[in-house]
Amino acid sequence: MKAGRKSEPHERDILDLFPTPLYTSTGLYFEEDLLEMGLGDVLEEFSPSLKEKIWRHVVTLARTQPELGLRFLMKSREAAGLLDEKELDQWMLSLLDIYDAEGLNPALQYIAGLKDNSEFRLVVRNATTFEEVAGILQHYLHGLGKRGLRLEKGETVHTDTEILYLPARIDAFQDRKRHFLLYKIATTYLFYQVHLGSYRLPWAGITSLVRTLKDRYRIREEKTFLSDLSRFFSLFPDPVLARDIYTLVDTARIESRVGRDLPGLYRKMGDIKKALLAQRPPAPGEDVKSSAVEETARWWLGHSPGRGARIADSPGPEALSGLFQAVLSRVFDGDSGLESPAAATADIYTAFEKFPGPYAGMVPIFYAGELRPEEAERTRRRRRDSTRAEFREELSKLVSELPKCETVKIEVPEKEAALPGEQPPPSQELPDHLLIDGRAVPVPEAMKKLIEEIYEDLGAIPSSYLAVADEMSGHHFRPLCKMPAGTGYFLSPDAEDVHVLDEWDFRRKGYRRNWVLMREMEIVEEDAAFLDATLTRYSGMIRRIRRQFERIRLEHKVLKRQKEGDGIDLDAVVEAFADLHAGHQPSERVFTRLRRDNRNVASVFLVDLSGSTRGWINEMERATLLILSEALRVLGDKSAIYGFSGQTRKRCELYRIKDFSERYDIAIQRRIGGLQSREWTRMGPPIRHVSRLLQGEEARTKLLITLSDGKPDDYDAYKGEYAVEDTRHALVEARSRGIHSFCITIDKAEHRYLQHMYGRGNYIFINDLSLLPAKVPEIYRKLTT
Amino acid sequence: MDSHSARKKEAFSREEAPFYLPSSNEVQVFSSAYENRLPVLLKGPTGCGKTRFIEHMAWKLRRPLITVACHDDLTSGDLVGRYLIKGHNTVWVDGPLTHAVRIGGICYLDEIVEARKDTTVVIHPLADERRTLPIEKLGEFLQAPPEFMLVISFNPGYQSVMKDLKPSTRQRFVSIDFDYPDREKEARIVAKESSVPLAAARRLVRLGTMTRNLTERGLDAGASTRLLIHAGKLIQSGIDPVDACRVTVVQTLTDDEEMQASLEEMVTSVF
Repeated sequence: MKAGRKSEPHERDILDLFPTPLYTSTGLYFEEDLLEMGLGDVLEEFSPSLKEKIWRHVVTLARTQPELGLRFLMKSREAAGLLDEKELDQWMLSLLDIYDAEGLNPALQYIAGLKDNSEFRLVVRNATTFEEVAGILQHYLHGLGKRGLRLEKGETVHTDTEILYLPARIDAFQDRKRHFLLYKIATTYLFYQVHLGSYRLPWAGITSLVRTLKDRYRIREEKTFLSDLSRFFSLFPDPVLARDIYTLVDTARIESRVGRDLPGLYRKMGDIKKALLAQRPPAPGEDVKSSAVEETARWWLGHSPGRGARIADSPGPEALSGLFQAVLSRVFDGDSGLESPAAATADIYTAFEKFPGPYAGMVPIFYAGELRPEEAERTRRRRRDSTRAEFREELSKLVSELPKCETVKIEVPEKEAALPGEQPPPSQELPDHLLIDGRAVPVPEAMKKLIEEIYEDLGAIPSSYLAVADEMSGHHFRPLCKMPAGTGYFLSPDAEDVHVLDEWDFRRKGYRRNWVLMREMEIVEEDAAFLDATLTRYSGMIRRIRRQFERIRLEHKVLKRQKEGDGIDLDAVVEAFADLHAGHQPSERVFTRLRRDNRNVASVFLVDLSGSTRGWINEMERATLLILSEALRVLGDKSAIYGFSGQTRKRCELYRIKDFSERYDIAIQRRIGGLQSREWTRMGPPIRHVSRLLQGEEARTKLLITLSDGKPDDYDAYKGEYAVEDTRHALVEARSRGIHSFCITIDKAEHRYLQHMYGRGNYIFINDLSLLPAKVPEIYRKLTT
Repeated sequence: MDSHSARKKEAFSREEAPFYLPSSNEVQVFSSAYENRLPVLLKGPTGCGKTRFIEHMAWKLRRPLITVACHDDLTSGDLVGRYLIKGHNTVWVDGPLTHAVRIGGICYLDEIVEARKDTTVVIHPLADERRTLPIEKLGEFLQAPPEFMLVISFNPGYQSVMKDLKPSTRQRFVSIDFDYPDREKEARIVAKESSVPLAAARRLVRLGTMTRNLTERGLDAGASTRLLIHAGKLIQSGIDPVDACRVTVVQTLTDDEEMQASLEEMVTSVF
């Protein structure tokens, strides 16, 4: 569908969707055949919103496999009569799942069978999807602890210490409340895996255990592993068995903590665990070890707290499991430090190794998920780099505010000795001041969280962190992008949609005339499923934003004590009268005036679409734009959204997501859905161009807000100081046209270049991506009220 | 001081000690500021003990306490005083600030940023070495006695750029930062104020902490200690804990359905 037109599909749109001659499993269709089938009329009977929804589904399906779209469309009238809107969505999604998993014919049968299809009954009626629960559980997750964790859909239940992955749907039970509870329990578990450091194995603390294992099993340590945990497992002859044992021990440890911290939740878990037990499939193998592990898992799910382990007499899987159960009970009751899971794992393993033969594996306990140490370690290292950079930046800010000193020596104060018998709470172990040249300097708020993270990760602040960096150019955390394939074109300056722009060269303090060629590009609208999912997931936030922004728009304030106005301020009059009587000059400010809040704002949002791996254009950022657009729509501000990217000065690209003349509607939403990562970041040209556009709009307040993820740089010589200076100059030009500029960045590297480009106070760094959708509208609100 | 003032002074004094559990050295700092005749700024979120603290200190220092809740219609005239017409005469009536200065009490301006900007004109000379209150309409410069103290409070974080304390104002004050007390202390406070057993108080504090983690992520502010005390009181008089938390925490903090559902999930996790 072309951008900008009305969203109602016409007959031509429908026919265009199915390329004729259309080959299907039942025959060949030409356009006349499709029309005779009534394809053009199917949607006529629906209400506009339902029509829109079904059309979107049909488009998604048809793009995957035209016949799917066709059959779905033909069945839609019957389906709409039987299913409500939500069930329609679920039907469509489950249809896609079946197509992916089983192929076209089962999918077609699924459509044909509709309600009579037994799978339909199970899957659609009772399933609870991730989107339904994500909004609520995300808040719940934040409540559990401030950690910047977020929820996303995944194949299996697991976490990489930044993202908690939950399945796309749960449909195991009849009662949907149980599905929600399962999602909630899994969320809680994964949170505690991060919080209690399931992936953290202090290698230094278990050296004797490691030596024992090496002596016993004589296995060379696998140094290619990133994570200590994987290395630990590799010391055992069967690392998979070791991992499964560790997982169960860790589950006991976490559950013990859940029992203490969240007794209400723990109480409800007993029932769910038994239900999971009832549905549990048999062990993947019949060997002794797999049976024993399975037996233990079953015991864990089914036993009531307080009833101890089942000890068997005769050797075999029961006895083995009994030993395992005993250890788990101890873990559950006790208060283990972190090496205990490792030590417990080793102990249990020695019992298992008496039974030779293969080990087939374990079916994971649903809510505990599986451990993925390598993935977690990769994420942790990435985060550690950025935390270190942030910490050093905060430190240099702190130092720069102190009176100048010759050398700057920074130390962490010694921990105060705890009083005997008193257990200092963990928060007191974090230093609240640093020693700079021997002087105690209190730790500012911004640094406290960083220190907490560093301590949790490393246990102390390494001395390398305490070196104060003083460079203007920070580090790039963006890996160099590969040259994109097959993109060797250059723009012609004579083409219609190409703009020619100057560039500022700071070295010669002059412009390079007609240096840059920039073209406005269309965005391919895609990803309708993403759109639906995002709108559902953030529906709570969108409602909130709408309400908030409506309040701003409707704010009619009565200003009191005015020198002129259309009403009389009675309080002021009484006071004036009394003053007059007392012989004083009465105040002139005795009127009230109604201030109709005529918002007169025009803003342009420039989104950096460059190809950084942690760049703007992933789900979180697209969601932010959707929500922001909603806020803008409510406010009625004149607004435009453009994306920019490019490669060398002859090929800058400007993507029109929404221009000033367009109304925010579903076409805009779809464009946002279609945003993809592009090439590089040449910032000067788009800033100049949209400043010109802004200049053409009539408004009292004009804003240019850039959403960026890093420094400007391009594939050619547009880098470093040159790029920063050109960008800065473009912003200065904008300011001379009365345009205020502001930058929202998620660049984790140092930000001094932003201060230079935008000026102090005109940029903000958002560390936690999950805060983006809420923060960006809020920033906009504060800028314009 | 005339008998009218003396009576009023009594009205502002307390007999019994208001219960206050110090978090760190705020009591000493405040006492020291008082001795040095410095004004104090209490900074912190709502419901974490600022008002209780000042009541406690006023009792401890044996000074009458006059509190003014500031709002956006509050002018300097409201603070300083105005002429009123009584019968055929005009009578000057002192505002609360003037009164406090006259009787040498402690004047506590709560949420000072809400008030109109012209109030700072009045506060500045009182808050620096001059310690004088200009009363324009009387043509008087009232000199504050050594026992007088000015205290203001301020809730940072939730502000718009417009409503903020200017540095010229802030730097006249000694700032004491208030935050929610640490968990064990807060549990003791909740238990004492609501009479609920300590174990239940601990759970309430856990719930409170969870809601505070949501500040800026959907909630303007988490549950204050005060809300937890309310919940405790309801629980103590026999209301089911989940219901008590629902009406004191969930429904109080938000009207948004999704957020309410999330808070509800937190409540049922803890109780």
